[in-house]
Amino acid sequence: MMETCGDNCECKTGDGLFTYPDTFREEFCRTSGLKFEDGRKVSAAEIWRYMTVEAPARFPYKFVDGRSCEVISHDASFFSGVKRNYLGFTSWDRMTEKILNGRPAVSIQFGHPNELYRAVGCEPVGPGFGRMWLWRKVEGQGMKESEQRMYDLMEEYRKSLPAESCNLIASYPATCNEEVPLSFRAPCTVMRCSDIVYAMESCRDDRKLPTHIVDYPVNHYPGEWRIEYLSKQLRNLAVELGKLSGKDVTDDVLFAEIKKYNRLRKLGMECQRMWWSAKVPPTTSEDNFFSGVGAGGMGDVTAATQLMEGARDELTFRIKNGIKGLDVADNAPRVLICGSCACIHCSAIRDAGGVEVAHDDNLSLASLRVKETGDPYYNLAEGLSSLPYELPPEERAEWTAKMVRESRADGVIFVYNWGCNYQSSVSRLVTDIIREHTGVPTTCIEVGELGRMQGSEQLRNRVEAFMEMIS
Amino acid sequence: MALKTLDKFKDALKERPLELADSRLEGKKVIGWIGYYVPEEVIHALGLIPIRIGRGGDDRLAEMGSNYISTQNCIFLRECVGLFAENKDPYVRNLDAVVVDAACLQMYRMSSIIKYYFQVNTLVLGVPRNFYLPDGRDYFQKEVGFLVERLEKIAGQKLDPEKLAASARLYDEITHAVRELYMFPSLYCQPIKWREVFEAVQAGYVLDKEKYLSLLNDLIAELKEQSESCGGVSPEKGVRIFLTGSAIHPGDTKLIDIIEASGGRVVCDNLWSGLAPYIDKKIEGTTLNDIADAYLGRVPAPALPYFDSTSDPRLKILKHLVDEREVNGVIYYTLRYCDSANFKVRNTKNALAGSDVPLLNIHTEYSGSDVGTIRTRVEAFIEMLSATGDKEMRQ
Repeated sequence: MMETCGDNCECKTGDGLFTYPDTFREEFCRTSGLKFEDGRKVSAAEIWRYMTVEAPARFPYKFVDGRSCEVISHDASFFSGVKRNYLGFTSWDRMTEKILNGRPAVSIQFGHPNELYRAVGCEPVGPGFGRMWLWRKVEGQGMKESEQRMYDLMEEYRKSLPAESCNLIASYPATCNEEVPLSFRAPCTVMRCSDIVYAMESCRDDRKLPTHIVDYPVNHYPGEWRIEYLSKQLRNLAVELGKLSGKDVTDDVLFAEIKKYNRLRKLGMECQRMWWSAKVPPTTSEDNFFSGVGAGGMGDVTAATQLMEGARDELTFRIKNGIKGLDVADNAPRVLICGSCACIHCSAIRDAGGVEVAHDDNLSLASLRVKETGDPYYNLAEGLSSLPYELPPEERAEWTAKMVRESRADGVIFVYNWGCNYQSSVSRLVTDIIREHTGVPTTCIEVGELGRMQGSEQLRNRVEAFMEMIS
Repeated sequence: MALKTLDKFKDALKERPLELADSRLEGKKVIGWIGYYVPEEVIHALGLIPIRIGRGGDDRLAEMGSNYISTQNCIFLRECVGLFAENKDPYVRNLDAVVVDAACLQMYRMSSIIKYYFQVNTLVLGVPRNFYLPDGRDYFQKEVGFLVERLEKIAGQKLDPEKLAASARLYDEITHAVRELYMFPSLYCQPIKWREVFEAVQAGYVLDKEKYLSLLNDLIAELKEQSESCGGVSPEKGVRIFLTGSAIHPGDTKLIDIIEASGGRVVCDNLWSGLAPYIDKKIEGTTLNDIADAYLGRVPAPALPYFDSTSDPRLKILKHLVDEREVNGVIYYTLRYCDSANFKVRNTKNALAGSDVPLLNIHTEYSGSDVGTIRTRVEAFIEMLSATGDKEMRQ
């Protein structure tokens, strides 16, 4: 395996876009490709070609030197990072193909594990699906154009909701656009967000879609009845979704899916812990995707698992040889992000000389282990009820403090979206407890438009000030 | 004509903090509660003293609360946190525990904040989002059962079914009395202002319940007497306004002052801090489960979502009241970041679109900076309604 490409690497195309340097191509192409759930395969050579030819043409905003959430890592020497970007870039195409071939798209809440939906033959999509569907109709745009378009769509659909709705939920009414191929609404209420069900309620007459809410008890224990309550709802949901997809899900089918996701989540946490244990950060923040991929599966659990197995090997090599991620500063302050469904793009931390160790939301879901025997619905309910991110705030904070210690974070940033009252409400409480338990400095940052282009300078100023403090 | 019983309410309120302090010295426990689904009967039956906490309209306290809960949260809850932070409110100072229902998720979050920062013993009561399904009802029964277990520990005694039945009867009488009382502001002679009814009902949340019932009955008797003398004839006309939306709490008088100063007359509401908890409450038995069912079966709090506009119980009751109380216009009051009410403005407006009753949304918080803007909007609304009424009379 090669070392990082270094300072003198020429990785710019004539149009100013970043490109993976050709010096890595040959070795990359000798590595294994990816195999997907439907049996299709893609070779490493095909991945390289896609990432150097097709992707920059379709998604130029991801290849700029900008400060967008979308920009990818430039570390071509970390092959799993390139493959992960490929998986991410192409996941929308695969999902679209499935939906257009008749697989029902089901709108769910973020943070909900996917196995139940997939076992029953449905495609789970997040609250931003409507906006993304409309946004993706146009390709080939630069960063400013693409982000402005995203912003315009949000504002267009916000008109159906109160001005104070969270920036993520503001575009939820886009799911009512008949162009958006959505079949069912089945959010898990009360998980992480108070706005999504209100948005659904507000738009209830705009587009008639079958709806089945899964009520998630706020207090999870003690109380066996709470798990039974959730378990019954998940079972009922499976029946409803089965009617939609025509698939009668058996316990065995569901267990098979649970096992696949358990394996991926376990791998995700294993890689995450390897990264944390390294003397120097073995990848860039952007390539520190392990708990994130472990948590979600990027739309294809088979390919994601294969990706993570490769990543584990690469991490082992890098850690053994003391290889640092591209452009990661020496003694870079380590930051753990927690908070709501918003992000602080890694570049803001990197430019301030730091490195991101993880996001608590991803760690929470990647930590989930659903029992693999007994009643699968009960097991899922039990697992969901124990997600650290969803615990009462004091317990969530204590768990996050544990993650801070384990990841050897030097600072914690609690980030929340403008309008997100459920997460912002406990930002001070969570960070106070973390500081009390770990002694690590913390800060709370509100972001506009999900930390994208809008308001990014303010965000950077605050991140930089915090990084200076913890350096 | 001044109502003598209202003075008695005021006197009782003045005496109440001292009464509570004395009761605590005698070993009685005071349980604060906040929300819509907390079954007060249970607290009462255990020999505990139930007190609903929370005030509105004080920007200073809201600012104080904002040191602990984000400014992206509902102004009422920020003020509630401020009450605990300041710790001067006589009711807050006398609490042994606080029960918070989790229908409003921001309220649930507030429970964590007052527990952590002010060491308040908080008991959370889970509330199902699918309250209309049998599974939701079963879940709530179990949540109420669990609440009772925790309250029994505080009370140092088990819940006695006979005492529960007696408390249920007492509260049922209060429910009926409040419903009856709420008819008076909508009478054309209006022997009592809606504001006065509202204040009496708010007083009831802190007063001793037997005393409260007695005062309610006295007030109703006095009002009946006065109504007979005015013969149902309106001594002063005014545009008949219905209030809906976010809760209005004691101290939050900005909008009411403006409506009254603009020639409007509030005749009714369906606020969860007003008539809503009483309007269709019906306990079918005297067991704990009967009480849980009755609470969950009431018109739902705005915090609970509902996805079918054709059977929406909130809108049904709203339309019924608007019709029954001969309302001219609806003012939909929303507090900043009170999402549960804010997100419902659109559907409520749509529901009234086919009727002759227009809706005005007033979105505000507790500062005085928007008084002028709100006054202009309310005045214009009332002028419009007056003009419509005059035109109809001419026709």
